[in-house]
Amino acid sequence: MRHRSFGRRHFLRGASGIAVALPLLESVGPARAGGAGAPLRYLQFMHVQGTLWDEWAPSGPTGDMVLSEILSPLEPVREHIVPVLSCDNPSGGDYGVNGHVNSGRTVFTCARNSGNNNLADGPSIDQVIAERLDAPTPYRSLQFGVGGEGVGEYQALMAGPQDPVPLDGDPRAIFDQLFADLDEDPAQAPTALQRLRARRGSVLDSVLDQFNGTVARASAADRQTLQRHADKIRELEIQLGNEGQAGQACGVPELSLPGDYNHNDQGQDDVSSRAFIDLMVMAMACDLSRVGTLQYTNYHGPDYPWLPVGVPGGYPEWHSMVHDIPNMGDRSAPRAVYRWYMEEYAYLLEQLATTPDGDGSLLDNMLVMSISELGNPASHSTNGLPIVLAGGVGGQLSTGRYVDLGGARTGELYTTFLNWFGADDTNFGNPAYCDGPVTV
Amino acid sequence: MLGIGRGNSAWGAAGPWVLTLLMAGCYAGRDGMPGAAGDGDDGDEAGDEAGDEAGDDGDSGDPTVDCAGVGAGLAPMRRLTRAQYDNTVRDLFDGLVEPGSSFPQSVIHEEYSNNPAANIVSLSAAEDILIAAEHAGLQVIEQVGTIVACEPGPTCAEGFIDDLGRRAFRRPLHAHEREALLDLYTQVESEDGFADGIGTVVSAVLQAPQFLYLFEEGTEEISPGVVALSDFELATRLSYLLWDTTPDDELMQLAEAGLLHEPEQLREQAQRLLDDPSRSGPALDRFFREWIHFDGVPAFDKDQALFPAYDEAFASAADQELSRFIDGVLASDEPTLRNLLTSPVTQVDATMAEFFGVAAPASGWTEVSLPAERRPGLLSRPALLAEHSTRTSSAPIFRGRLVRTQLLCDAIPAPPDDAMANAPQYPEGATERQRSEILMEHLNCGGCHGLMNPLGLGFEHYDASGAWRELDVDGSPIDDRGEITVSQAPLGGEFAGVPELGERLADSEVVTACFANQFYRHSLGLERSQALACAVEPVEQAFIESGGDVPALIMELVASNAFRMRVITEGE
Repeated sequence: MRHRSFGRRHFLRGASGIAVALPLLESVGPARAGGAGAPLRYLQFMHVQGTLWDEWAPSGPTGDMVLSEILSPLEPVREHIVPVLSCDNPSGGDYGVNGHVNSGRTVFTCARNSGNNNLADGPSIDQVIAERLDAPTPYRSLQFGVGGEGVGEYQALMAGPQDPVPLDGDPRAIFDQLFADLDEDPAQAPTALQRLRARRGSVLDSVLDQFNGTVARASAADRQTLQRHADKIRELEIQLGNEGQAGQACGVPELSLPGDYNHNDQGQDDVSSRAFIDLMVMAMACDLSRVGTLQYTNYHGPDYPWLPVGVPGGYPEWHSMVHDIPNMGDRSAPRAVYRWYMEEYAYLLEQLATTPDGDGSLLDNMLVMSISELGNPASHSTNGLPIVLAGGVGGQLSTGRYVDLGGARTGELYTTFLNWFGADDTNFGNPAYCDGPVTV
Repeated sequence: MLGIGRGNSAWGAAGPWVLTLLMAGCYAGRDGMPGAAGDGDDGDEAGDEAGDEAGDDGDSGDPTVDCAGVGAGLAPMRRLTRAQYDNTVRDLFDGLVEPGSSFPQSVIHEEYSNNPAANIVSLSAAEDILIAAEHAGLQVIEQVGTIVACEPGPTCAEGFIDDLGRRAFRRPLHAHEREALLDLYTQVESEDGFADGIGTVVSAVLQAPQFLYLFEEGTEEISPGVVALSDFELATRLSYLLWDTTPDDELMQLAEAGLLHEPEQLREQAQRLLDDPSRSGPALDRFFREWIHFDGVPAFDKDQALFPAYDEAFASAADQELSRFIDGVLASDEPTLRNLLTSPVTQVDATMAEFFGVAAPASGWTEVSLPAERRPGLLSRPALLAEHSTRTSSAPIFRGRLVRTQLLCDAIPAPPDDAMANAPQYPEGATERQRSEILMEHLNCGGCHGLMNPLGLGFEHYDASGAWRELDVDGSPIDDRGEITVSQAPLGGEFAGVPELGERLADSEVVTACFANQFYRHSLGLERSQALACAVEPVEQAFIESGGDVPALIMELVASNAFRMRVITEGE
C-alpha cells in the first residue's frame, strides 16, 4: 500500500507580531497563464436584508462619483471599487415559499429551486469559479458565516443541484483548521492534531482501499454512488497535498477574541466580522484557497448593540423594522446598519489592498463582490441589488467609477465573472434569465 | 434511478386509479399555465418515475415488478444520517467521544433524510467527513487509556480493531479489512506510538464506506431474483429504524448465533427496542417530523407585530407539545392512527396551558384533555399549524398539501416558475377563503389548487401562529367548511372543520394504507417510486386489519418479506 504523508508548513512570526514567511514554499505550477506571477482570486461578501434602495446609489459623473451616506465608508478605497446599479435577480421572483427563501437561495445560483426542500437546482457562482480555476490550493473554497453557521432559509452556496455547501461559523475552529499545521516553530514537537493531519494521506489511502471490492453485490446505482464518493476522496487527497503558493505576507494571524466570546451571539457580530475578515485575508495571502465567501447569517433579529442607534427601536425585531422602512420618517437607524456593513466591506478591501502579493497587492489580482439578496427589503424585491465590485482582477476591471447595467441580470454579470477567470462560459444559471456576458 | 420503478404504484391499497383521476385535472390545468413546462416532471417529481408514470397499468414486463413473487422490495444503499452518525459515534465509544459538528447535515429528499440520492458526497462533504473523523480520533488519542482497556501492544491493538470493526461495520471484519487496518496501525505506531496508532485507525474506520453506508448484500438467492438479508443486516435494519444507532451487544450476539431472521425473532427484538423509549422515542419522533414536513418554526418565522405572543419560549413549548402529543398516543392503551388523528389528550407546561386556556401544572408537563371540538389530534397541534402557514397568515394551500401528499399519498406537481409572477391580485384585507376563490378561478390555477385549497380551508379556525380564532381577518365569523376532493366515498366530500376531517381520515383505508406506506418508505429511505406495491401491500393490509395499531405496524413490517428480503436489481 502506498502511503502519502503531508508535512507541516513552517512559518515564523516577526518581532512586530506581523507574520513573516520562511522561503520554504515553492510555487506549485504556474499561477495562471499569462499572469504577472500572482494568481487570480474571488471573494464574495453577502450582507442581508437589502439596503435603503432609494438612497444607496452613488451619484455624479461615473468617473468622479459621489458616494452616498451608506457607501461613504468606502471613500478610502474608492479607487478600487465599482458600484453596480440596476442589476436584477429575476430568479428571486420565481416560485418560492416566501420572499426570503427564494432571494437567498438564488442570489449566487441564479437557478430554479423546484425541489421539495427548496434547495437551488444549480451551483453558486463561487463554486463554479473554484471549479474552473481548479487551483493547487489546500482548500477549493472557504465559506465563513458571520453570526454562526446556521443559514436557515438562506442556503445560498451550492456545489451543484440540491447539494448545499455549509458555512463555518466559529472563527476559532477555522483558525485551527487553517493554521494549526502552519507551524511557527519547527523545533517544537507537533501536537496530536498536527500528527493526525500529517497522516491524512495514509488514512485516505486506507479508506480508498476499503472502497475496492468491499461490496460484492450492489445495484448499478449504488456502485455509482460509491464510485463517486471514492472519486471525491481522491480529489480531496490531491487537494490536501496542495501547498498553494504562499505570498510574502503569509503567516499565522493573530486571533484575539474576548473571553466571553460566543460566535452564535449576534450581539458580538462586530467581533466575529473582523475575526473572519482577518482569517479570510490571511488565508488568501497564504494561498490556502483562491475562492471565498463571507456571509452575514443573522437576518431576522440582530439588534446591532455596537451601533448607537437603537435597533429595533419600537419594533419587535430588525426584520419588522426593515419592512416598515417606506413608512418611516426617520431612517437613521436602518441607514446606520447598512452603513455598518459597508464599513466592514471597506475594512476587508483595505486589508486586501495593503497585503502585498506578487508585484502588487492581493486586491490587484482579485475580484471582490459585495451583494445582498434583496434590493428593496421592505417589498422583498430582488431587483436593483446593492452590488459593489472591487479589485483589479489582474488588470481586467477598471475601478474608481460606478456603472449602470440598465436592468441586466445577475446570471449575465456572473457570466462576465467567469470570462474574467479565463472560462469561456456564455451562460450562468437559468438560461431563461441570461443572454450572455455584460460589459461592466 | 434504478430503472424499475415503472408501472409500480407507490400508493399502496389506494391503487393508482385514485391518483390518475386527480392528476389528470391538475396536469390539464397546469399545461395551460403561462410558461408552464407542461411535462409535469419537475419539482417534487424530479427523477420520480412514479410521478411520470402515474396511471400506467403496471404491465412493464420487468421481472422485478412482482417482487419476485414473495413480496420482497427494493433496498437501495443508505448513508448514515447526521443523527445516526452522532448516535453511533457516541455508542461506539461508550459516550466518551463527542461526534462534533462537522459531519454533513442530512438533506431531506421525498420526505426522508436517509435517501442516498440526496446525500451524495461532494468534495466539501468528503472533507467534512474527514474532519469529523479526525475530531473523534483526536479524542481517542487523548483518552486511549480509558477507551482501550488492555496493555498497549500488538495483541491489544488487534483486539481493539476486531471489536471496533465489528461494531462499526455491524459484522465481523473480513480478513482484508482487518489486514488493512492493522497495516495502518503498525505503520503509525512505529512512528508515533500506540495511542496515535489507535486514534488513526479510528479516523480511518469512521470514513470507511462499510461504516458510512448501510448496504445489504444478502445471503443466498432464496428464489430467482431475491436474496434473504443476513442476520447482521437485519440487526442493522432494526437498530437504525428503531434506535437510530448501531446494533447493541444483544442484537450482535443474536446475529452472530444466527437467531435473528425468523419473523418471531425479529418481532421480539423490535419489541425490546421499542420498550426503551429513551432511544426509540427520538428515532420515531424523527419519522413523525419528517412525515409531516415539520422542521420547527422559530419565533423569527412569524410576523412579530401580528403575533407578539409567538416568542421563542412559545415556539419551543409548542415544538415539545407536538412530540409529547405523539408520544402520548403511542404510549396509550390505544396507540392507533385513529387516536393520532382524533385524540384530544395531550401534555401541557405552563406556556401551553396558558395558550390552550387550561390550568397550568405546578411544574413541568402534565397530561390534559382539551376540548375535542378545538384540539382533536395531530392536525390541530399548534406547532404543526404554524409550520404549515406563512409569516402572516393561515395557509390553506400548505395545509391542504400536507393532507393530500402525506395522508392520502397523492402527488402534487411543483408550481411553474412563473406561478408567483402570474398570481392574481387580491383585494386588501381579503380572507383566505376569498383569496382561495379568486385563485381557483384565476387562469388555470384551479387545476392543481383544487387538490389543496378546498381541503386546507377546513383549517381556518387556526391562525398562522396555530391559535384558535372565532373571527376572520375581516371580522366575519370563521367559515371552516372544507372538502376532500376525491371521487370515492366515504373519503371524498365536504366536512366541517378539523374534528370532522380527522374522523373522516381515521375511517379511511386509503389513509391507513398511506401511513403504512410512509413508514415503510422511511424505514429504508425509499423514494415514492421505490416503494413497490407488491412489497408494501401486505404490510398495509396488516395495518388495516390491526385497526391502525402503530406498534402492530412496526411488528408487521419487521416480520414481513419486504423487510427480511430484497429483490436483486438489474446489473448486480
